Amino acid sequence: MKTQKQEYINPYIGGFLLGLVLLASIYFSGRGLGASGAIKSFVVSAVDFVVPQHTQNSEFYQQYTGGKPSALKSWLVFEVFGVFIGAFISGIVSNRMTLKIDKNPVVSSVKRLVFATIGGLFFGLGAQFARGCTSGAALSGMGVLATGGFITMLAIFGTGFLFAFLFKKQWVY
Amino acid sequence: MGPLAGQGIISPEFDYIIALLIGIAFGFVLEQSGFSSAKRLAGLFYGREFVVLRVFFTAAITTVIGVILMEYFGMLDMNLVYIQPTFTWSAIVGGVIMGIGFLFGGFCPGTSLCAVSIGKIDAMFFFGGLFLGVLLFAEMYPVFEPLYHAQNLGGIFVYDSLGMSRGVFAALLIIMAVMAFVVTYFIEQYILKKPKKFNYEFITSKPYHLAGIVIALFFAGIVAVTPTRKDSIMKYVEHTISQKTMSFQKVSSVELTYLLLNPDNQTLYIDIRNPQDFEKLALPGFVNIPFESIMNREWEDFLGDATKKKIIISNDTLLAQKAIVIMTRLGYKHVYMLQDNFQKFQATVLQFDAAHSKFSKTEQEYIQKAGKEILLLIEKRKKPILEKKVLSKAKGGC
Repeated sequence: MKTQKQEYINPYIGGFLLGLVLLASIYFSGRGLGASGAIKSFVVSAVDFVVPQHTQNSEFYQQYTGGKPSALKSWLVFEVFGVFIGAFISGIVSNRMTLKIDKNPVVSSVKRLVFATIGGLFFGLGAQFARGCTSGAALSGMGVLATGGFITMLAIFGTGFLFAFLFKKQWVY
Repeated sequence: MGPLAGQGIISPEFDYIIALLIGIAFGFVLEQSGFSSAKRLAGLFYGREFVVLRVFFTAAITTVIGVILMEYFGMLDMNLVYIQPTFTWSAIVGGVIMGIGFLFGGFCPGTSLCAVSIGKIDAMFFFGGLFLGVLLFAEMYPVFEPLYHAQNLGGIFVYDSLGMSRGVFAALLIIMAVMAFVVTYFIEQYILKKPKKFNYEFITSKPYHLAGIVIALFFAGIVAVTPTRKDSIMKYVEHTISQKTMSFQKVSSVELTYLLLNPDNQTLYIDIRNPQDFEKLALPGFVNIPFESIMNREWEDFLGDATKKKIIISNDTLLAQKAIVIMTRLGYKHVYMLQDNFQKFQATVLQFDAAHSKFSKTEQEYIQKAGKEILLLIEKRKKPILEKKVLSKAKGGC
């Protein structure tokens, strides 16, 4: 336990660095960090590519398509692409590259992957309602002291603690 | 002064490169902090791992301190920073759904991407699920739309919502974060069955942690007493007005009348009344800059023209004086005010109240004639003039 832990940097230093990254983002681009917004851009572009007549008739897609610059050419898409590269570099530097399913040994792989997919689905859905995910709404919102950021943060973590007992088998091992 | 992209200091194309670099740093830090492991992330909810809480809150208070200090030192214009709008119900529902998603998947979108990047197969499925979730929202949008748009409070700040000053709230947030760090340390030790006694020996054995706490509390004190830029300017204004340390240059109604009919292209006419009043009746050539928005940087180019004289009119001459103090403080030059308020000008010139017989006969005749001409000009004028500098507020959102 102890040796494995030291692979990661001290969480307070990590948090401080993360804060500096967020500050740089605010200073240069006037916005916080994000992740789920880029996924929305991909979904909109993909649907627009596959069934363009559908996007023309839908109120949701119309906000992003139809003569406007491609949804993929957005700040968040570039930023999220960077996240992928940054984590990749970090994984190589710290020798953490693997190809495996991270799970409790008593839980089957299929169950873990099904649960992961459901989790992603919920998160993708919830992030649309909250106008951002943990990074875009909760962290960036808190950083600029936006009320919505605090509400979303409390709702995410409050719900997590409240219903944690139902998922104990997944995470405690 | 930041943000640089919103003011065209950074071109939109270069902003994408910045986005990429910031993303790289973001991904690197998340992965280095151990956010690529679902067990470590979800462990928070069972008191097993507090890494999320520590990283998350340290990042939040670092940002809060940084934003407050950058604004105070004039490095950041908060008017141009994206403040996520608060839609109360949508934010709560979204948060609850995400909380459940967290328990199912063990990731959030950003951390799942980091885990995908280092080859975690479970994260790849989570990441795929995100697309399904967004697609579900998009397809069900007509059903979700009323909730999505319910109770729009706009880009409000949490300290305003709670009725506190920004400084007090920020200081409390930092203190709460530090307390959470200390408490979770003891919980962790207890769960690891290595309970620690909180005594002098224990405190001295942790010099770095102690230093960290002292630094955090020091900054809590600093942010508590750091006024917002607006507050510090307004304080200066109140002081200047009450101490009468400034003399105001004035133009009379007759002088203004003459200027309006004989435009010299060397004068800017500024109406600081609210937009509703301005739309009802505006004098020819006047630009509406409501008192509250004089400090906004969108007017910087317009008001910053040092070769031109500026004439302020208002319903309230005291408000006009305050506007002049603010403008002088912001470095704008040659600011004059109408000696009377707008109503008086309206009564004297536009409605030509003959009872104002303090004028000589020739003046009376001139005013009467000029009033009619100005009214004609007002009728001809179609739209109010706006000469804002185009500053784009960053569009954010996740």
